[in-house]
Amino acid sequence: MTGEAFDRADSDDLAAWSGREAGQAAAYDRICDRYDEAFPHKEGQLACGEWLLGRLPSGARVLDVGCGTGLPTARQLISGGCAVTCVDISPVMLERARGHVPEASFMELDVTDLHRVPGPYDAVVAFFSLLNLPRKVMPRALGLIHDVLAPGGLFSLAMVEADVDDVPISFLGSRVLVTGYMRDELRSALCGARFSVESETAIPYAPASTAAGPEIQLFMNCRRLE
Amino acid sequence: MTQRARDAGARALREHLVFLNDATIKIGASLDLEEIVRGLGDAVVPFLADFVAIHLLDRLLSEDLPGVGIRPGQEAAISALRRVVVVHDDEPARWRDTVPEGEVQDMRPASPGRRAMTSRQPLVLPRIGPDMARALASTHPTGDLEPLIRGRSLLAIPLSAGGRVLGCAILLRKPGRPPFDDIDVLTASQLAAQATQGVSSACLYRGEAATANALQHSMLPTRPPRLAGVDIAHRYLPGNKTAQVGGDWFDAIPLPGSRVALVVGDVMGHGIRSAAIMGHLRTAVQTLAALDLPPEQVLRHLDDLAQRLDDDHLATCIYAVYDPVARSCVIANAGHIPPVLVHADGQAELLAQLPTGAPIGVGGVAFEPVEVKAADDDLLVLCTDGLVEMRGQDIESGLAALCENLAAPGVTPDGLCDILMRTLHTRDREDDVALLIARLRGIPSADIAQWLLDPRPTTPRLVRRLVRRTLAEWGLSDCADVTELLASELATNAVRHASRPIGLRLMRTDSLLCEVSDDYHHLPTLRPATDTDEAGRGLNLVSRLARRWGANRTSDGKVVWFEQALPPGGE
Repeated sequence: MTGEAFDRADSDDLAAWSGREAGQAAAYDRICDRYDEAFPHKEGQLACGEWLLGRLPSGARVLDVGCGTGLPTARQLISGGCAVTCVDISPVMLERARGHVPEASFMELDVTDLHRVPGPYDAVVAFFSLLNLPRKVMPRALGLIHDVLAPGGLFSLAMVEADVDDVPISFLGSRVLVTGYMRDELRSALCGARFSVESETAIPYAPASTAAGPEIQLFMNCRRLE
Repeated sequence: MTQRARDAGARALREHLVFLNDATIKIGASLDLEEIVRGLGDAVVPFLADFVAIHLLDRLLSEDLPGVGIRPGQEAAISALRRVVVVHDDEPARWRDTVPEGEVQDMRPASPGRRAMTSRQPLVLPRIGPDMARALASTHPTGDLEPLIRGRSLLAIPLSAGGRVLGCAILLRKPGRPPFDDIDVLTASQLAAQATQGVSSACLYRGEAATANALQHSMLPTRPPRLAGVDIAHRYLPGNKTAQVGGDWFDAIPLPGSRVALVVGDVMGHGIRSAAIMGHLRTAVQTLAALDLPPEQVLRHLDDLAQRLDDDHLATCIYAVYDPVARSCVIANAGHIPPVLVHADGQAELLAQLPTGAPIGVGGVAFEPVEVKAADDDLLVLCTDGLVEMRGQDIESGLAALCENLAAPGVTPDGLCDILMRTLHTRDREDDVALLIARLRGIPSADIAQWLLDPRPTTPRLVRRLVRRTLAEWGLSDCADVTELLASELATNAVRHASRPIGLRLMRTDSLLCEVSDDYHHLPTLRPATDTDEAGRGLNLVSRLARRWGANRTSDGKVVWFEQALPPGGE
């Protein structure tokens, strides 16, 4: 597996991708202040953290892909005795996360550049971050996550159930591009990337803001297959 | 004439003038019909008479037919007269049972009062002899009148204004006093004329107030809508009797997604004109709400409209949109007193952080929305200043009193409306009052399922699958067949025109709601489908099989929805 996100990694595609990700990062920079307030009650996400902590040895290395504000997951994993590396494309989010979980290490990084993180990791979490990728990039992203995991490593992810591919939506007042799968499609995508789905939950969720609509959140706990 | 006699004459004249002056002030002190005639009664006793009873046509006093006197030539129509006021200087109980105040009676054509009204001339009976006393008493409906009037002097004065008869006044003097003379008749007539003028104005005034009141009531909702996620109660009360109706209004307008717009407004000024402008503005707010515009834009458009109406009337208004799913209110204010959010523990919070904004009609000032979190069972209280403004008090203490009275945990919105009306809407309130209280119940997220779906030919099939799965989870499989069918019909229509993802939302409250939204602004219309017509079928099915359905504009397109009753026993 190479690090490139595209089959035809020509310079036009790369420039377009960089521009797109800069736009996404800027949106999350703007959203940062309102994010945790609009999305309280992350019981589903915390349950995934518990699932991981129940299976990981003390001092396990965990990569948090799209860590956001670092709450609640990086905080939960650090408190649970893990060594956490936080990755995000939004410098404002990373700064906020640094304040919340100073014990973690931080990298400003796009998910398509995950080959640059110092793996291997015992677990990877990606809560509501992969939904910012177009479907055509998803296999690559899952492949990169597979690559940075140690053999038998764990992978928890959260997505929003939807049938959309890279569509712009207004999210807390900013325009972001989002992608969604139906739960069976997501399962297939994970299997295709050589993960076994060990448990999954679907939780209807209503953000505490009129600037974001209700949604069904999908949480899947997986293990890397060889 | 001796000096003493001249002095006595001058003293009498001076006393007479002082009496006239005092009497005029008493009669003119009020705009209220009953207070005016009481002023007349108080003026004539004891200086001019020992007893006076003032009768008005009963229909003048009815709320429905105000302001109509009897024209010349229609004297036969003088029938029911109400004895509005009785004043005398005997011991208090002497006349009470025989000539009670408030009694309605038919005056006989031969009675002095009736004769005075018919001829429009005062009538004097210098002494009521035994025969006449018996005759008058024989037709009197209550008690024994005869011993009360025998030997007295009687003066009957018609109360007429502008040629119309409104009633009469009967004055009596005790046997020991001289009978009524010409000067007494002139004096009494003069005072009666003044009082009649006042009564006439009060009738017109009542008439206008009644018209405005009727207009106002016809333009306000009578019953609050029944909505999922919110319980609403409201009240409207005109000001007290001497003041006219105002331009207060309120509304609760259902919006897509089980949201609701809550509105309270107040057109400054009183009377028919304010009520009419209120009607304009209320209709405009309803129309703007139907476009699902955000609160600040509703007020902006309303302000534009008020200025285009080219009217110098100003209005204040609060427009709040409650979203029971997000548990949040977005509120914008145009110069209105701030709303109050009452928390479930009874603590009342004045939403003073909401920018006041400028009243509707001022123009050029931005309205700034504020989003307020609403926990389940919080109460949002919107009212007009009539409820909190009291003479001699600043508005802050009125608002503080409002908050104090709202601190009643566990009371229903309706009960709370009653409490506020009872404790705050006291008799000396001059302004009208509009009050709206909403219990924000919220809708649990477990009762909502929502997806964003790219418009594809396969989308209707996916919609069927999602509906079936969700209704199974909710234990509502009994209505899955119809819901699946109708939802996929709406999805088929949506996919045809949408250029962006469509939205599917299912919501379980006391009914089952299904909404399909898309970015195509055209609202669908129901039309008869022909045999070859594929497109028109969906809505016909929906209208036939759903309990209710509708289509609303949204900020980025439209939403078409239908509602079904929950199957019996389904939870």
